[in-house]
Amino acid sequence: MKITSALFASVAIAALAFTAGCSDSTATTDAEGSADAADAPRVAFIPKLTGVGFFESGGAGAEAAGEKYGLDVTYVGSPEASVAKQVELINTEIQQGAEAIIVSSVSPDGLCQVFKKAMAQDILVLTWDSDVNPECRTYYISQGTADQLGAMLVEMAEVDIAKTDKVEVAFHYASPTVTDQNQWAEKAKQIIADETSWTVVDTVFSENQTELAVQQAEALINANPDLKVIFAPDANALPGTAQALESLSRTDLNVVGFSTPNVMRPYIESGTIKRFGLWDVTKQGELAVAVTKQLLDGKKLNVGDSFDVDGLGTLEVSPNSVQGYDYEADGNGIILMPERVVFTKDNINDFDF
Amino acid sequence: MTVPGFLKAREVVTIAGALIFIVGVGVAQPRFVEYENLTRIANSTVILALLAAGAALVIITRNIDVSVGSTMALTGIVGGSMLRDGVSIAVVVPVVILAGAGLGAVNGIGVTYGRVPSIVMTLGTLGAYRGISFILTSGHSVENIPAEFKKIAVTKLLGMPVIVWGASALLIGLMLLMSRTRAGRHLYATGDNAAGARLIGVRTNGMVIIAFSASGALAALAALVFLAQIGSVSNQAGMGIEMRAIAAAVIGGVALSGGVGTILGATFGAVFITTATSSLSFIGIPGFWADTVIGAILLLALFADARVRAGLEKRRLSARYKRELGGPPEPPPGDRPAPAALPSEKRIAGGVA
Repeated sequence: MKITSALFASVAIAALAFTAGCSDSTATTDAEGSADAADAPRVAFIPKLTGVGFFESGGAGAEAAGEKYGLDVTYVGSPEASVAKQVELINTEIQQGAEAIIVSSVSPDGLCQVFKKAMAQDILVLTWDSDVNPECRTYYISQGTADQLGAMLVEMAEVDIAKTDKVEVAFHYASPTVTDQNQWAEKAKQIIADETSWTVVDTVFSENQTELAVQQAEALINANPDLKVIFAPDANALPGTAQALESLSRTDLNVVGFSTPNVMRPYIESGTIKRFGLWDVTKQGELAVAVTKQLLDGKKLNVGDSFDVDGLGTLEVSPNSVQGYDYEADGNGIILMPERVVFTKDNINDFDF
Repeated sequence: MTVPGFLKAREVVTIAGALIFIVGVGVAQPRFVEYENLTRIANSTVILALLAAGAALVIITRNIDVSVGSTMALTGIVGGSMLRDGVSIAVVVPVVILAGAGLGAVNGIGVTYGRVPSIVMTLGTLGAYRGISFILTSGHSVENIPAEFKKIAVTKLLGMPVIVWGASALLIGLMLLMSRTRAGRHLYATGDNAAGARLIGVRTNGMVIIAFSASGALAALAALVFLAQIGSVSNQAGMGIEMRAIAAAVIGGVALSGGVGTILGATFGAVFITTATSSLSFIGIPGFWADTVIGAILLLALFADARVRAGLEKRRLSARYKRELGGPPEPPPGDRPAPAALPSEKRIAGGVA
């Protein structure tokens, strides 16, 4: 019996340690809401999930900016993208005396309650990459509006396929419940319907599973022999689709989408795909921390105000309406990344994330 | 009215179901049954079929292994990192398989000598193994698998990828091992009646450890296939695939109560699931509906399976009653039971003998 319980306990502890918080390594400052200048204010930078190059790079950018601006920035997350895990993490951060929390949310409204609790304790709440409803946070550090990113998808395809060509196109991304990807795809579909002669024949989903992404893309391609373009605005669906092209030895198809340069480098180098887009997520992490610094220093930012960030130039606070929200308030808005990047053979080696 | 021998096998229903499904989709969309697409489906099935075979081995011993997704990710990350760093394929393959067997053995030892219920033990390692892969990679995915390894996935023999041939040979070998050898019979005996098996000299603990190790080794093989087919592996790899593997085994007639089922059935369960997933693009079901439709197809398959089995069992029983109780049309000479013996008694007697 002793062995049983000992083993059981060690397994349980191991499981907890590994799944719950495999990152809380930085020494915590016991700020308790009244941090003085000697203690660097604690800032939590939270991804949707850990273990994905995209978020890890955002986290690296945020932590580097933390050192630069004298903030104790910790990148903490869970390997599983779930509302419950994020709520748990945020609650832990509130208890540990974080002064600001910056989150890429897995749900538009699932975090509202815990965010309101945090704001009631004068903790600064921002979102990055994936937003929550605007009344639940102060600012959203956005990679671009749905209009910008949806249009960017179509523009990348247009380089090789004329708008007037009557061709079949399809979409492939993670899941119909991912807010941002859905918005980009819907916007792109709208542009395709309004401005081109292209026909959208199918939309498939691969639930963040690499092997499913390859299989779904292969099925999609075989089912639609006349397909000319696949839009894959998802960091997992895009390499999966590119791999499907390689396994089926198809070179007559254009695949464009959003993913990270390190994952896509082999497919760009082999010529399987010509271009894909993203934003510099390391800079997005930096920007989020830079904005946090200004706010913690007591600066007020309202819609229309502009401010300078070292390395990113002058930025402006946009109203929530650019993202399609109705809610506007003082000290609330959206800060857009100044630019997005199209990666090709020529520039991909300038990036490492 | 006797039932043909081959129809008595539980897995026949699954095999027939999978074939009928393929033909059905083929009638609706002939492109689906083109040789090239069928080989693609076979290629997509390999990972799931290997994992389902492992699930079957463990379930036959009346245990369950929910850790295979994490085992696959961890062994894939170990193998992928070694390949990326230039270790030769001849070294990587055995190391990865041994690592998988070792990870499986940990489950087996915990379940037998540690007396932890298998669901708890493997839930623990499900978290722990994924945690270890996070630690090894600090969250980043392993990319740039050398082209010479990826080439294995595109090498074909008679139009079929060599990986499919290799996996088929392995699974057939496993089937023979299960049906023709003493070890195979001991495995069934362990799951059917562990106490009885021990009494007749089966080392049940050893059999359980072997089953878990085999499941781990098969997960490691699946990881190698994953690396060859996909060319990169992230920490998210294989998340949730254990449930599909268990579903495949169960659809293939492996009883969760242990002691019953075959590798052949589990393999076709995997074929069925993969076919159902990749048929959706062909029969024009929108991606939004994918999960619902696949769930419905699986439930329908299980329901039909249960009905067919109930019908077969009824026919088998009535044939038996006719032979033993009713006026025998042609009594098998020398095989008549004692007049008072009831069928159930005969079965018990037969079981002990």
